[in-house]
Amino acid sequence: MKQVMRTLMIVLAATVAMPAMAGDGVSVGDMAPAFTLADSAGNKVSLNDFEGKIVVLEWLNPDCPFVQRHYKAGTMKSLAAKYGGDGVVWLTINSTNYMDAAANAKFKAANDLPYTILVDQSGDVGHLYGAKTTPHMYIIDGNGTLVYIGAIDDDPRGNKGEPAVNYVAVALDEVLAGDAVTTAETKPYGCSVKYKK
Amino acid sequence: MSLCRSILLTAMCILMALLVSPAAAQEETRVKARLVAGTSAVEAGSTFWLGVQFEIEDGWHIYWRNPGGAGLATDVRFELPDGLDAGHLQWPLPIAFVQSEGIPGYGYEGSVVLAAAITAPPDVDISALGKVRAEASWLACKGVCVLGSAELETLLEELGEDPVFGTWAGRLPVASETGDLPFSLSVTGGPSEGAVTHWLRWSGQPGTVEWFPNPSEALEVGDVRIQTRGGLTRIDAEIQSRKGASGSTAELPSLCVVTGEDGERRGWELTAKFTND
Repeated sequence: MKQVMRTLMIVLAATVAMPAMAGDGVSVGDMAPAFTLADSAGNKVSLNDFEGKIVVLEWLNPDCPFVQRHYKAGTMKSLAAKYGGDGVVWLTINSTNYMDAAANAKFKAANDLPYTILVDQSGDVGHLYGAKTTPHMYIIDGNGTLVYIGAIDDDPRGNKGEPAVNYVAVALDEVLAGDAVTTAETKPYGCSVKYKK
Repeated sequence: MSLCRSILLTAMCILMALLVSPAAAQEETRVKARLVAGTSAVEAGSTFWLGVQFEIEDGWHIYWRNPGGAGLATDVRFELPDGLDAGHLQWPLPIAFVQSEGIPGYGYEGSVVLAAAITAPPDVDISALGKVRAEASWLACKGVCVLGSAELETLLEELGEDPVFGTWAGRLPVASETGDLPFSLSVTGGPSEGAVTHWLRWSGQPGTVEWFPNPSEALEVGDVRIQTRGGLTRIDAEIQSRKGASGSTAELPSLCVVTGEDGERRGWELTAKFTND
Protein backbone atom coordinates (compact mmCIF):
# COMPACT_ATOMS: atom_id res chain seq x y z
CA MET A 1 0.00 0.00 0.00
CA LYS A 2 2.80 2.35 0.95
CA GLN A 3 4.53 1.58 -2.35
CA VAL A 4 1.33 2.31 -4.26
CA MET A 5 0.93 5.61 -2.43
CA ARG A 6 4.49 6.57 -3.24
CA THR A 7 4.01 5.72 -6.91
CA LEU A 8 0.79 7.69 -6.93
CA MET A 9 2.56 10.66 -5.35
CA ILE A 10 5.34 10.53 -7.90
CA VAL A 11 2.80 10.41 -10.74
CA LEU A 12 0.97 13.34 -9.16
CA ALA A 13 4.16 15.29 -8.75
CA ALA A 14 5.07 14.60 -12.36
CA THR A 15 1.64 15.82 -13.51
CA VAL A 16 1.96 19.01 -11.51
CA ALA A 17 5.49 19.63 -12.71
CA MET A 18 4.76 18.98 -16.37
CA PRO A 19 3.59 22.43 -17.48
CA ALA A 20 6.83 23.88 -16.15
CA MET A 21 9.31 24.92 -18.80
CA ALA A 22 12.58 23.17 -19.39
CA GLY A 23 15.20 24.85 -17.24
CA ASP A 24 13.05 25.19 -14.16
CA GLY A 25 15.35 22.69 -12.56
CA VAL A 26 15.54 21.34 -9.07
CA SER A 27 15.25 22.75 -5.55
CA VAL A 28 17.01 22.01 -2.28
CA GLY A 29 15.28 19.03 -0.67
CA ASP A 30 14.47 17.37 -4.02
CA MET A 31 15.86 13.96 -4.90
CA ALA A 32 18.66 14.55 -7.40
CA PRO A 33 17.34 13.46 -10.80
CA ALA A 34 19.25 10.61 -12.44
CA PHE A 35 21.35 11.24 -15.53
CA THR A 36 23.89 9.49 -17.70
CA LEU A 37 26.48 11.36 -19.78
CA ALA A 38 29.69 10.47 -21.56
CA ASP A 39 32.85 11.93 -20.08
CA SER A 40 35.59 13.64 -22.08
CA ALA A 41 37.15 10.21 -22.79
CA GLY A 42 33.85 8.75 -24.03
CA ASN A 43 33.07 6.65 -20.93
CA LYS A 44 29.46 6.59 -19.76
CA VAL A 45 28.99 8.01 -16.27
CA SER A 46 25.71 7.82 -14.34
CA LEU A 47 24.77 9.59 -11.14
CA ASN A 48 23.57 6.14 -9.96
CA ASP A 49 27.17 4.90 -10.10
CA PHE A 50 27.78 6.90 -6.92
CA GLU A 51 24.83 5.75 -4.85
CA GLY A 52 25.40 6.40 -1.15
CA LYS A 53 28.14 8.94 -1.80
CA ILE A 54 28.18 12.69 -1.47
CA VAL A 55 28.38 14.17 -4.97
CA VAL A 56 29.30 17.71 -6.01
CA LEU A 57 28.12 18.90 -9.44
CA GLU A 58 29.97 21.86 -10.95
CA TRP A 59 28.77 23.56 -14.16
CA LEU A 60 31.73 24.50 -16.33
CA ASN A 61 32.51 26.65 -19.34
CA PRO A 62 36.27 27.13 -19.86
CA ASP A 63 35.56 30.28 -21.93
CA CYS A 64 33.84 32.07 -19.04
CA PRO A 65 36.04 34.55 -17.13
CA PHE A 66 34.52 33.57 -13.76
CA VAL A 67 35.45 29.93 -14.41
CA GLN A 68 38.89 31.00 -15.61
CA ARG A 69 39.45 32.97 -12.40
CA HIS A 70 38.56 29.97 -10.23
CA TYR A 71 40.68 27.59 -12.30
CA LYS A 72 43.63 29.95 -12.15
CA ALA A 73 43.20 30.06 -8.36
CA GLY A 74 42.73 26.27 -8.23
CA THR A 75 39.43 26.65 -6.32
CA MET A 76 37.69 23.57 -7.73
CA LYS A 77 40.75 21.38 -7.91
CA SER A 78 41.77 21.96 -4.30
CA LEU A 79 38.21 21.46 -3.04
CA ALA A 80 37.90 18.22 -5.03
CA ALA A 81 41.23 17.00 -3.65
CA LYS A 82 40.45 18.03 -0.06
CA TYR A 83 37.01 16.43 0.09
CA GLY A 84 37.94 13.52 -2.18
CA GLY A 85 39.77 12.20 0.88
CA ASP A 86 36.41 12.04 2.65
CA GLY A 87 34.87 10.09 -0.22
CA VAL A 88 33.16 13.08 -1.87
CA VAL A 89 32.74 12.62 -5.66
CA TRP A 90 33.32 15.67 -7.88
CA LEU A 91 31.57 15.72 -11.25
CA THR A 92 32.02 18.65 -13.58
CA ILE A 93 29.39 19.11 -16.27
CA ASN A 94 29.90 21.23 -19.38
CA SER A 95 26.59 22.17 -21.04
CA THR A 96 28.24 24.63 -23.45
CA ASN A 97 26.65 23.87 -26.82
CA TYR A 98 29.88 24.16 -28.82
CA MET A 99 32.19 22.12 -26.56
CA ASP A 100 32.57 18.49 -27.56
CA ALA A 101 34.50 15.66 -25.89
CA ALA A 102 37.79 16.77 -27.48
CA ALA A 103 37.44 20.37 -26.23
CA ASN A 104 36.71 19.09 -22.71
CA ALA A 105 39.58 16.58 -22.84
CA LYS A 106 41.90 19.42 -23.82
CA PHE A 107 40.78 21.56 -20.86
CA LYS A 108 41.09 18.58 -18.48
CA ALA A 109 44.65 17.87 -19.69
CA ALA A 110 45.73 21.54 -19.69
CA ASN A 111 44.58 21.94 -16.08
CA ASP A 112 45.67 18.45 -14.98
CA LEU A 113 42.23 17.82 -13.49
CA PRO A 114 41.81 14.75 -11.31
CA TYR A 115 38.04 14.69 -11.86
CA THR A 116 35.72 13.82 -14.71
CA ILE A 117 34.24 16.36 -17.11
CA LEU A 118 30.87 15.22 -18.44
CA VAL A 119 29.87 16.40 -21.90
CA ASP A 120 26.32 17.79 -22.11
CA GLN A 121 26.24 19.58 -25.47
CA SER A 122 22.49 19.00 -25.81
CA GLY A 123 22.01 20.89 -22.52
CA ASP A 124 19.54 18.21 -21.34
CA VAL A 125 21.17 17.66 -17.94
CA GLY A 126 21.77 21.41 -17.51
CA HIS A 127 18.07 22.07 -18.09
CA LEU A 128 17.11 19.11 -15.87
CA TYR A 129 18.97 20.72 -12.97
CA GLY A 130 18.17 24.30 -13.97
CA ALA A 131 21.84 25.27 -14.21
CA LYS A 132 21.99 28.98 -15.11
CA THR A 133 25.54 30.12 -14.60
CA THR A 134 29.12 28.95 -14.86
CA PRO A 135 30.04 28.09 -12.24
CA HIS A 136 26.76 26.82 -10.72
CA MET A 137 27.22 24.37 -7.84
CA TYR A 138 25.03 21.53 -6.53
CA ILE A 139 25.66 19.16 -3.61
CA ILE A 140 23.86 15.82 -3.32
CA ASP A 141 24.07 14.00 0.02
CA GLY A 142 24.47 10.26 0.57
CA ASN A 143 20.71 9.78 0.42
CA GLY A 144 20.52 11.33 -3.02
CA THR A 145 18.94 14.56 -1.76
CA LEU A 146 20.00 17.99 -3.02
CA VAL A 147 21.36 19.87 -0.02
CA TYR A 148 23.04 22.89 -1.62
CA ILE A 149 22.39 24.86 -4.82
CA GLY A 150 24.07 28.10 -5.73
CA ALA A 151 27.31 30.03 -6.00
CA ILE A 152 30.79 28.69 -5.30
CA ASP A 153 31.51 31.56 -2.87
CA ASP A 154 30.41 35.02 -1.76
CA ASP A 155 32.91 36.91 -3.91
CA PRO A 156 31.51 37.30 -7.45
CA ARG A 157 34.06 39.98 -8.40
CA GLY A 158 37.00 38.23 -6.82
CA ASN A 159 38.04 41.50 -5.18
CA LYS A 160 36.56 41.22 -1.72
CA GLY A 161 39.89 41.85 -0.05
CA GLU A 162 39.02 39.50 2.80
CA PRO A 163 38.84 35.71 2.65
CA ALA A 164 35.75 34.69 0.69
CA VAL A 165 33.25 32.30 2.24
CA ASN A 166 33.30 29.18 0.09
CA TYR A 167 29.69 28.02 0.34
CA VAL A 168 30.50 24.58 -1.09
CA ALA A 169 33.25 23.92 1.49
CA VAL A 170 31.02 25.09 4.35
CA ALA A 171 28.12 22.92 3.14
CA LEU A 172 30.36 19.87 2.64
CA ASP A 173 31.75 20.25 6.17
CA GLU A 174 28.19 20.30 7.51
CA VAL A 175 27.08 17.29 5.43
CA LEU A 176 30.15 15.30 6.47
CA ALA A 177 29.47 16.16 10.13
CA GLY A 178 25.92 14.90 9.69
CA ASP A 179 24.47 18.40 10.15
CA ALA A 180 21.85 20.20 8.10
CA VAL A 181 23.28 22.70 5.63
CA THR A 182 22.79 26.22 7.04
CA THR A 183 23.25 28.17 3.83
CA ALA A 184 21.50 25.76 1.48
CA GLU A 185 20.71 28.16 -1.38
CA THR A 186 22.55 31.19 -2.70
CA LYS A 187 22.29 33.27 -5.85
CA PRO A 188 24.69 31.77 -8.38
CA TYR A 189 26.95 34.14 -10.28
CA GLY A 190 28.86 33.88 -13.54
CA CYS A 191 28.26 33.76 -17.27
CA SER A 192 24.99 32.29 -18.48
CA VAL A 193 25.25 28.63 -19.48
CA LYS A 194 25.61 28.72 -23.27
CA TYR A 195 22.79 26.33 -24.08
CA LYS A 196 22.03 24.93 -27.49
CA LYS A 197 19.26 26.97 -29.13
CA MET B 1 75.80 31.13 -25.37
CA SER B 2 74.14 33.60 -23.05
CA LEU B 3 73.81 36.07 -25.96
CA CYS B 4 72.13 33.34 -27.97
CA ARG B 5 69.81 32.64 -25.12
CA SER B 6 68.85 36.27 -24.65
CA ILE B 7 68.23 36.68 -28.39
CA LEU B 8 66.08 33.58 -28.31
CA LEU B 9 64.22 34.85 -25.24
CA THR B 10 63.67 38.25 -26.84
CA ALA B 11 62.39 36.61 -30.01
CA MET B 12 60.07 34.45 -27.98
CA CYS B 13 58.82 37.45 -26.03
CA ILE B 14 58.10 39.37 -29.22
CA LEU B 15 56.32 36.36 -30.65
CA MET B 16 54.29 35.95 -27.47
CA ALA B 17 53.39 39.63 -27.46
CA LEU B 18 52.31 39.39 -31.07
CA LEU B 19 50.19 36.37 -30.30
CA VAL B 20 48.62 37.77 -27.14
CA SER B 21 48.18 41.48 -27.64
CA PRO B 22 45.70 41.64 -30.54
CA ALA B 23 43.21 39.53 -28.58
CA ALA B 24 43.78 41.46 -25.35
CA ALA B 25 43.44 44.81 -27.10
CA GLN B 26 40.26 43.65 -28.79
CA GLU B 27 38.71 42.58 -25.49
CA GLU B 28 39.50 45.89 -23.84
CA THR B 29 37.57 47.83 -26.46
CA ARG B 30 34.22 46.06 -25.93
CA VAL B 31 33.34 48.74 -23.39
CA LYS B 32 34.87 52.17 -22.96
CA ALA B 33 34.39 53.93 -19.63
CA ARG B 34 34.90 57.62 -18.88
CA LEU B 35 34.19 59.93 -15.97
CA VAL B 36 31.42 62.45 -16.60
CA ALA B 37 29.95 65.28 -14.51
CA GLY B 38 26.71 67.22 -14.69
CA THR B 39 27.92 70.63 -13.56
CA SER B 40 29.61 73.49 -15.29
CA ALA B 41 31.79 74.11 -12.23
CA VAL B 42 31.83 72.48 -8.84
CA GLU B 43 31.12 75.05 -6.17
CA ALA B 44 31.18 74.91 -2.39
CA GLY B 45 27.78 73.85 -1.05
CA SER B 46 26.56 72.57 -4.42
CA THR B 47 25.17 69.19 -5.41
CA PHE B 48 26.04 67.78 -8.82
CA TRP B 49 25.92 64.51 -10.77
CA LEU B 50 29.12 62.51 -11.10
CA GLY B 51 29.06 59.34 -13.10
CA VAL B 52 30.70 56.90 -15.45
CA GLN B 53 29.64 56.66 -19.06
CA PHE B 54 29.91 53.20 -20.55
CA GLU B 55 30.11 53.01 -24.33
CA ILE B 56 29.31 49.46 -25.34
CA GLU B 57 30.27 47.89 -28.64
CA ASP B 58 27.42 46.91 -30.98
CA GLY B 59 25.80 43.60 -30.09
CA TRP B 60 27.33 43.51 -26.59
CA HIS B 61 25.57 44.27 -23.32
CA ILE B 62 26.51 45.05 -19.72
CA TYR B 63 24.28 44.47 -16.71
CA TRP B 64 21.69 46.28 -14.56
CA ARG B 65 21.78 46.16 -10.73
CA ASN B 66 19.96 42.81 -11.00
CA PRO B 67 21.65 41.05 -13.92
CA GLY B 68 18.84 38.46 -14.17
CA GLY B 69 19.41 34.69 -14.16
CA ALA B 70 23.16 35.05 -14.83
CA GLY B 71 25.74 37.77 -15.33
CA LEU B 72 27.13 40.39 -12.98
CA ALA B 73 25.88 43.82 -11.96
CA THR B 74 27.96 46.70 -13.25
CA ASP B 75 29.79 48.36 -10.38
CA VAL B 76 30.89 51.97 -9.84
CA ARG B 77 32.70 53.06 -6.70
CA PHE B 78 33.64 56.66 -6.08
CA GLU B 79 36.62 57.77 -4.09
CA LEU B 80 36.09 61.39 -3.14
CA PRO B 81 38.11 64.03 -1.30
CA ASP B 82 37.21 64.40 2.40
CA GLY B 83 33.97 66.26 2.96
CA LEU B 84 32.33 65.30 -0.34
CA ASP B 85 29.38 62.91 -0.06
CA ALA B 86 28.03 60.55 -2.71
CA GLY B 87 24.38 59.50 -2.77
CA HIS B 88 23.14 56.15 -4.09
CA LEU B 89 24.13 55.15 -7.60
CA GLN B 90 21.28 55.90 -10.01
CA TRP B 91 20.43 53.30 -12.65
CA PRO B 92 18.65 54.37 -15.85
CA LEU B 93 15.86 52.11 -17.18
CA PRO B 94 17.35 48.79 -18.29
CA ILE B 95 16.36 46.64 -21.25
CA ALA B 96 15.54 42.93 -21.14
CA PHE B 97 17.25 40.28 -23.23
CA VAL B 98 17.57 36.51 -23.32
CA GLN B 99 21.07 35.47 -22.22
CA SER B 100 20.74 31.84 -23.17
CA GLU B 101 17.83 29.42 -23.56
CA GLY B 102 15.40 30.28 -20.74
CA ILE B 103 17.75 32.62 -18.83
CA PRO B 104 16.54 36.24 -18.70
CA GLY B 105 18.99 39.13 -18.54
CA TYR B 106 18.63 42.83 -17.67
CA GLY B 107 21.09 45.48 -18.71
CA TYR B 108 22.22 48.04 -21.22
CA GLU B 109 23.32 48.22 -24.83
CA GLY B 110 24.88 51.12 -26.69
CA SER B 111 25.60 53.69 -24.03
CA VAL B 112 24.64 54.25 -20.41
CA VAL B 113 25.65 56.57 -17.58
CA LEU B 114 25.56 55.37 -13.97
CA ALA B 115 25.83 58.39 -11.71
CA ALA B 116 25.39 59.56 -8.13
CA ALA B 117 24.58 62.96 -6.64
CA ILE B 118 27.68 64.44 -5.01
CA THR B 119 27.38 67.13 -2.38
CA ALA B 120 30.24 69.50 -1.71
CA PRO B 121 30.42 71.05 1.76
CA PRO B 122 29.95 74.80 2.17
CA ASP B 123 33.01 76.91 3.03
CA VAL B 124 35.50 74.82 1.16
CA ASP B 125 38.17 75.68 -1.38
CA ILE B 126 37.34 73.38 -4.30
CA SER B 127 40.75 73.81 -5.92
CA ALA B 128 42.39 72.50 -2.74
CA LEU B 129 40.31 69.31 -2.68
CA GLY B 130 42.25 67.50 -5.37
CA LYS B 131 41.02 64.53 -7.38
CA VAL B 132 37.84 62.53 -7.66
CA ARG B 133 38.28 58.89 -8.57
CA ALA B 134 35.89 56.24 -9.81
CA GLU B 135 36.53 52.54 -10.04
CA ALA B 136 34.23 50.86 -12.56
CA SER B 137 33.93 47.16 -13.26
CA TRP B 138 31.60 45.30 -15.57
CA LEU B 139 30.87 42.07 -17.35
CA ALA B 140 30.27 42.49 -21.09
CA CYS B 141 28.64 39.64 -23.00
CA LYS B 142 27.73 38.77 -26.56
CA GLY B 143 27.53 34.99 -26.49
CA VAL B 144 30.92 35.01 -24.80
CA CYS B 145 31.61 37.18 -21.76
CA VAL B 146 34.52 39.47 -20.94
CA LEU B 147 35.23 41.09 -17.57
CA GLY B 148 36.39 44.68 -17.72
CA SER B 149 37.41 47.40 -15.31
CA ALA B 150 38.69 50.95 -15.34
CA GLU B 151 40.15 53.32 -12.80
CA LEU B 152 39.24 56.87 -13.70
CA GLU B 153 40.25 60.14 -12.09
CA THR B 154 40.19 63.86 -12.64
CA LEU B 155 40.79 67.06 -10.72
CA LEU B 156 37.59 68.32 -9.13
CA GLU B 157 38.14 71.80 -10.52
CA GLU B 158 38.47 70.40 -14.03
CA LEU B 159 35.03 68.77 -14.04
CA GLY B 160 32.78 70.29 -16.67
CA GLU B 161 29.20 69.89 -17.84
CA ASP B 162 28.98 66.78 -20.00
CA PRO B 163 26.26 66.82 -22.67
CA VAL B 164 25.13 63.30 -21.69
CA PHE B 165 23.43 64.82 -18.66
CA GLY B 166 21.09 66.83 -20.89
CA THR B 167 18.66 63.92 -21.22
CA TRP B 168 20.00 61.51 -18.63
CA ALA B 169 17.66 62.26 -15.72
CA GLY B 170 14.70 61.56 -18.00
CA ARG B 171 15.83 57.94 -18.28
CA LEU B 172 15.73 57.33 -14.54
CA PRO B 173 12.77 55.55 -12.97
CA VAL B 174 10.38 57.58 -10.85
CA ALA B 175 10.96 56.81 -7.16
CA SER B 176 8.20 54.88 -5.45
CA GLU B 177 7.72 57.55 -2.77
CA THR B 178 6.20 59.97 -5.24
CA GLY B 179 2.43 60.39 -5.00
CA ASP B 180 2.04 61.18 -8.67
CA LEU B 181 1.71 57.70 -10.23
CA PRO B 182 -0.35 56.90 -13.35
CA PHE B 183 -1.52 53.64 -11.78
CA SER B 184 -2.62 52.14 -8.51
CA LEU B 185 -0.74 49.06 -7.35
CA SER B 186 -1.86 46.04 -5.39
CA VAL B 187 0.14 42.91 -4.73
CA THR B 188 -1.08 39.41 -3.94
CA GLY B 189 0.91 36.31 -2.99
CA GLY B 190 4.47 36.13 -1.76
CA PRO B 191 7.37 33.76 -1.11
CA SER B 192 5.27 31.56 1.19
CA GLU B 193 2.85 30.93 -1.68
CA GLY B 194 5.53 30.45 -4.33
CA ALA B 195 4.02 33.11 -6.57
CA VAL B 196 3.50 36.85 -6.56
CA THR B 197 1.15 38.97 -8.65
CA HIS B 198 1.43 42.71 -9.16
CA TRP B 199 -1.82 44.33 -10.31
CA LEU B 200 -1.52 47.75 -11.89
CA ARG B 201 -4.69 49.68 -12.62
CA TRP B 202 -3.92 52.50 -15.04
CA SER B 203 -5.88 55.66 -15.58
CA GLY B 204 -5.67 55.06 -19.34
CA GLN B 205 -4.19 52.52 -21.77
CA PRO B 206 -0.60 51.96 -20.64
CA GLY B 207 1.16 50.77 -23.83
CA THR B 208 3.69 47.93 -23.65
CA VAL B 209 4.52 46.96 -20.07
CA GLU B 210 7.83 45.42 -18.94
CA TRP B 211 8.79 44.38 -15.42
CA PHE B 212 12.26 44.16 -13.88
CA PRO B 213 12.45 42.51 -10.45
CA ASN B 214 15.31 43.52 -8.17
CA PRO B 215 15.12 40.99 -5.32
CA SER B 216 17.61 40.58 -2.51
CA GLU B 217 19.89 37.55 -2.77
CA ALA B 218 17.52 35.73 -0.43
CA LEU B 219 14.73 35.71 -3.03
CA GLU B 220 14.59 33.96 -6.37
CA VAL B 221 12.15 35.38 -8.91
CA GLY B 222 11.47 33.69 -12.22
CA ASP B 223 8.98 32.76 -14.94
CA VAL B 224 7.59 36.29 -15.35
CA ARG B 225 4.34 36.64 -17.34
CA ILE B 226 2.72 39.99 -18.14
CA GLN B 227 -0.80 40.52 -19.38
CA THR B 228 -2.53 43.83 -20.06
CA ARG B 229 -6.27 43.98 -20.70
CA GLY B 230 -7.80 47.41 -20.99
CA GLY B 231 -6.48 49.46 -18.10
CA LEU B 232 -5.40 46.50 -15.98
CA THR B 233 -1.95 44.92 -16.06
CA ARG B 234 -1.31 41.65 -14.29
CA ILE B 235 2.32 40.66 -13.66
CA ASP B 236 2.74 37.06 -12.46
CA ALA B 237 6.04 35.63 -11.28
CA GLU B 238 7.29 32.66 -9.36
CA ILE B 239 9.00 33.62 -6.12
CA GLN B 240 10.91 31.51 -3.63
CA SER B 241 13.13 32.29 -0.69
CA ARG B 242 16.63 30.85 -0.73
CA LYS B 243 17.17 28.82 2.42
CA GLY B 244 19.93 30.30 4.54
CA ALA B 245 20.84 33.09 2.10
CA SER B 246 21.27 36.59 3.51
CA GLY B 247 18.93 39.42 2.56
CA SER B 248 15.33 40.47 3.02
CA THR B 249 12.45 38.18 2.09
CA ALA B 250 9.92 40.69 3.41
CA GLU B 251 9.86 42.88 0.32
CA LEU B 252 10.46 42.82 -3.39
CA PRO B 253 11.63 46.01 -5.11
CA SER B 254 11.04 46.10 -8.84
CA LEU B 255 10.70 48.39 -11.81
CA CYS B 256 7.73 48.76 -14.11
CA VAL B 257 8.57 50.20 -17.54
CA VAL B 258 6.05 51.34 -20.12
CA THR B 259 6.78 52.04 -23.76
CA GLY B 260 4.22 54.43 -25.22
CA GLU B 261 3.09 54.64 -28.85
CA ASP B 262 5.75 57.27 -29.46
CA GLY B 263 8.44 54.77 -28.41
CA GLU B 264 9.21 56.71 -25.25
CA ARG B 265 10.02 54.58 -22.20
CA ARG B 266 8.99 55.60 -18.72
CA GLY B 267 9.60 53.66 -15.53
CA TRP B 268 8.43 53.54 -11.92
CA GLU B 269 9.94 51.84 -8.90
CA LEU B 270 7.56 49.46 -7.11
CA THR B 271 7.94 47.81 -3.72
CA ALA B 272 5.89 44.77 -2.81
CA LYS B 273 5.71 44.12 0.95
CA PHE B 274 5.09 40.61 2.19
CA THR B 275 3.47 40.57 5.60
CA ASN B 276 2.98 36.88 6.30
CA ASP B 277 6.60 35.75 5.76
